[in-house]
Amino acid sequence: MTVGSAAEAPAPALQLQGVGRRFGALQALRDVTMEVAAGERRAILGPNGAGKTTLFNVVAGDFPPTSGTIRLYGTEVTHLQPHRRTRLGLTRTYQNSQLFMGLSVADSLYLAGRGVRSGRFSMVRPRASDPALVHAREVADIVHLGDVYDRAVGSLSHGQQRQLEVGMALAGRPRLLMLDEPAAGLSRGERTMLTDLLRSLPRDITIILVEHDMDVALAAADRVTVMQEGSIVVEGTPDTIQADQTVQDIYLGHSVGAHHG
Amino acid sequence: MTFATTKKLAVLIAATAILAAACSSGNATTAPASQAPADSAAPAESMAAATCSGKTIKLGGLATLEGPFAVPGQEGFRGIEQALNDYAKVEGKEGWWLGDCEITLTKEGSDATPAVALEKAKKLIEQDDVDILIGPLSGDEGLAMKDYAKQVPDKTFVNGSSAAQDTTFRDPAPNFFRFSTDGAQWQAGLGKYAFDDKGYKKVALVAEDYSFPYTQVGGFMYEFCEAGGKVVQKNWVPLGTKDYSAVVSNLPTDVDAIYVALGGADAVNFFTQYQAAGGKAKFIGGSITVDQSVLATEGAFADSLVGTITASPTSDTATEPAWLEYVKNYKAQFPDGLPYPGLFALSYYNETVGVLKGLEAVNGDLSGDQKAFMEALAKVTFDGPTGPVSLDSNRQAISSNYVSEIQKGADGKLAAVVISKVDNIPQTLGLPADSPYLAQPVSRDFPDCP
Amino acid sequence: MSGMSSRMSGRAARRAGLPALGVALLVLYPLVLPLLFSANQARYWTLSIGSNSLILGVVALSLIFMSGYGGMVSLAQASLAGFAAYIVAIMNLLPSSTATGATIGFGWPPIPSAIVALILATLAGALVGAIASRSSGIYFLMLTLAIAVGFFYVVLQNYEFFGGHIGFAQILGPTGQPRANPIAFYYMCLAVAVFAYLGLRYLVRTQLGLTFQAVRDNPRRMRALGYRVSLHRIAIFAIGGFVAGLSGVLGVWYRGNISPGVVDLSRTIDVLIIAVIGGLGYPVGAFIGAVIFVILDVFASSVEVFGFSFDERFNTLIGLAFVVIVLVAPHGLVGLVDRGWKGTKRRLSSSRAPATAGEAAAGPAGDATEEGIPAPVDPIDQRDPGSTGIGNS
Repeated sequence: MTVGSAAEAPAPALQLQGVGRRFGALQALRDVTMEVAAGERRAILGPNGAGKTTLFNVVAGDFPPTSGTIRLYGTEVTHLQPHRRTRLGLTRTYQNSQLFMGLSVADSLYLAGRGVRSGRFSMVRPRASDPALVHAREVADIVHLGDVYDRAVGSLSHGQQRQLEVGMALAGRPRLLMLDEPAAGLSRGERTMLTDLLRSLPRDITIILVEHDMDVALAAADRVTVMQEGSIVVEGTPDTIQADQTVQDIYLGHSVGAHHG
Repeated sequence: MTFATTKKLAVLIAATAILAAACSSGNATTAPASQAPADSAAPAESMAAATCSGKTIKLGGLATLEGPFAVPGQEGFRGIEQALNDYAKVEGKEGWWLGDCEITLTKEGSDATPAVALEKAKKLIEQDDVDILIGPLSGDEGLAMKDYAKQVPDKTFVNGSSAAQDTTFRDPAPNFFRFSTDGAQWQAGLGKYAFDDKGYKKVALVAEDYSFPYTQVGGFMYEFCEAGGKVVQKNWVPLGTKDYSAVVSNLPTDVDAIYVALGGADAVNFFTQYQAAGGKAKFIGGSITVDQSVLATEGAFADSLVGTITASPTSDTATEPAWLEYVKNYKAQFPDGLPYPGLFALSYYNETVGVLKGLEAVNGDLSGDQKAFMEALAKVTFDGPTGPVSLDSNRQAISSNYVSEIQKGADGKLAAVVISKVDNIPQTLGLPADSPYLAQPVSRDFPDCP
Repeated sequence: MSGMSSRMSGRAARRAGLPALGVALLVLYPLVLPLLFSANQARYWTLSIGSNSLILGVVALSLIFMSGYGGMVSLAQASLAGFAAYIVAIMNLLPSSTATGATIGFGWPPIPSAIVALILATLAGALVGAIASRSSGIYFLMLTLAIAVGFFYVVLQNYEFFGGHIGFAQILGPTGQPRANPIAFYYMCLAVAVFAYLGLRYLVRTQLGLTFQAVRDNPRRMRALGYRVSLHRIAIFAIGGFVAGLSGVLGVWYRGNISPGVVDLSRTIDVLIIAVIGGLGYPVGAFIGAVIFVILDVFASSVEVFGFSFDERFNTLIGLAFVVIVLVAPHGLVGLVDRGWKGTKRRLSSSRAPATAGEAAAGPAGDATEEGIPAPVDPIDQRDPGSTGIGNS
């Protein structure tokens, strides 16, 4: 859309080239190179401290990488501020919900939808028929928050707050949606609901998902990237990953490690 | 905001109104009986047992009780109370009386800013309904008070100790009276003495940047420039300046003296830093620059002040009987006061005496929008602690002034020794009415004789 | 759910009625005064108590707005009000009519002068925001304080523009000398105060107002939603500057003059005290705080306790009253009343609950559900967030 002609293949949704991030002595990301095709569902797996969330933060622009380049649908965004990336179609959720505790569900979804459109400084109250309000209501129904639409965010249950977290990312009409452990702390039923939701999203949204829960990750993903100690270890389809010995070692070794120690 | 909050607020407002009403009912304070024990100094002069109408005469007192002039403000109230004690005490009766009219005093304090002084004056005049307002203390407040006085022509405003020239000199208010002299009169005799007797031909000046020092500098320069002296450099610093290093390094070394019009802590800071920087010049001081509060500091600079000349409407070392009597009464009435009443106490004292004399002349009759009282007040003359006091056609005092020199006494302490005293100094300091020095208001730039 | 909605509509009706009643009382106030007081005192209560409280209330409202909706306690509000006051003076006067030899003056009528002052105060607010909003917490407080103190010294020492220590005098508003027509002046102040209050209440439910609250709650998320947070912070400062400017314009017309004392540190602290007394989380607290502050300030010197007069120690009394209010009502007086009211309601309903439900299980959680009002996260307008929000409007 932004680069390339119709004759070429469409630019990948996300393209990382040698991305690294250092915090003092800690190399949180090292030489990460990956490509996520438009429309793809990608899961990123890895033990705690593998650099998954750092990767998300670097891609979202919370802090710039110390090396490498990031391209969003072909546009270089390596040093772009977070709000500019969002306006280019990148939205995200957080591992720990980042919500507006003093606002209502309606207000939160409305703001989330308006952030990527002009008129952010409007001092006129929207009418009930305002498309942004209509859209907020639709998103609330999609994430099953229609019943608590007017409630204060602070009064929602944990599960509802996680749903809102996803809803706010969806409300920004993303082309690339990055979900950081959306299933964390959800009940089994809520997880199923989340998986169904992810499956139901149209293919013009690309999804990158960090998830501890293998079931959620593998159910939703086309491809899986496994990270360890800031680097990509292996990448493949869910089937190949499940069968992969390295992955087995990382995951089993990690969880069994406690017995050895 | 929800319904509930609004309703609760209504309750709150009602409660506030009740509180206010309760407060406003007890706003006039009568004289504390213990203030002047009958056996201490006898009143200098008792008010004539005039036939008054039995009404209460309400005085309002306004002085500065916060900020840089808090101590002078207390002095101002002492001045009012001493005048009342000296002139309006009746044997065997509590409070202050003019014949059978009781005199009450309601006090308000400002913070030396015109805005607050005006608010407090409005409270006294409009809410407390005082008949006569005595105050304020500082120069800018006085200028604001004159403007307010014009809006309230049926009340009498009498100055406290504010000493800016234009409070009375230009565009005066017909109901504003000043029985104290202004900052220029407080410098009378100094410029001439500096030029003629001390032989100072070239001076630089350091002064605070507001209307009172402008007036002081003006009073000094009227005489000094007229005599042929030159003021080659003017340094205006904000009130409360602590760091004078830039000023000190900027001062020319080829001057005969430095004229300093700074008050209290500002003066101490300047003298200390000037001394520390190796400055050697002689000083000429404004009226509150080398007063007791500065001399008693005993800073390292103390010796450098010997020989400093200054001028002021009071002198601690004066020996006239009226002054000694006044000091004796002051000490008896205010054991916790200053060692000597300063010019703030004297100014408020003279203002209040003027008011009492005026009231006496009309037997306390303030009817007819106080017109008769104001006429009488304009004609009041009396002998104050330092000499005769009368008013000119702008209702501005004509009175006495001292020129003094700082000398080291036998006890090793510094004191201002009177060199000369002049009575009946007019606001023009004797300049002809068409003198170019009087053509413009005093300011940072005027007068000028570089 | 149906019970809740019926209660909501009832509440909505009362919500419309009570502010109207409050405004009606404020409208009647100067008309009732002559029945209670002498003419002089009625004028005093109209101007020095009534109008003055409204003027101080508006500047405190700007502080409460910024702290409540923006999470930023700015100490520069009194200075922004003073800045607007100075601009009115400069626009309104001619250089020849000033006592200080100011070199700039335009001799414009009051209203155009005020409009220029409000525009510049808004821009100045934005500038303060651009400087201060990069910091937070104590550093933010110190920065805004430094701006306030800096402005004081600028006007104190600048003679060409600000008239130095003396400032400007004889500035008249559109109603003329306030003393000559106190009621007209009071109604002008009331109109401006109501405009500012209702305007801010409207604003907080707009797109922009919501962004302020969202930035307050979670600036990081706002960035991730596509908002340039620093600009929204600057916008809240600009609006705070505008509202403070309204107060400054009224203030200079009220006093008729402007000098550095109006922007000194004490005035900054006064505004903070008013906001804290009223309640930092409650916009209406600005006016409650202002009334109480003015009454305390005016009458403290007249108070006698056991024969001990406070006339020379009125500041001690004001300070004591302030300490007591802060100790007794840490959320301000409006907060105290609001919370007390809620507590009473809760006690009443929980004492009823076991009887009606037939069991003692109705704890706080059940209670909250029954109330249908979520616990407020922030006291401002959160008693019923749904209906304050955009979605319901």
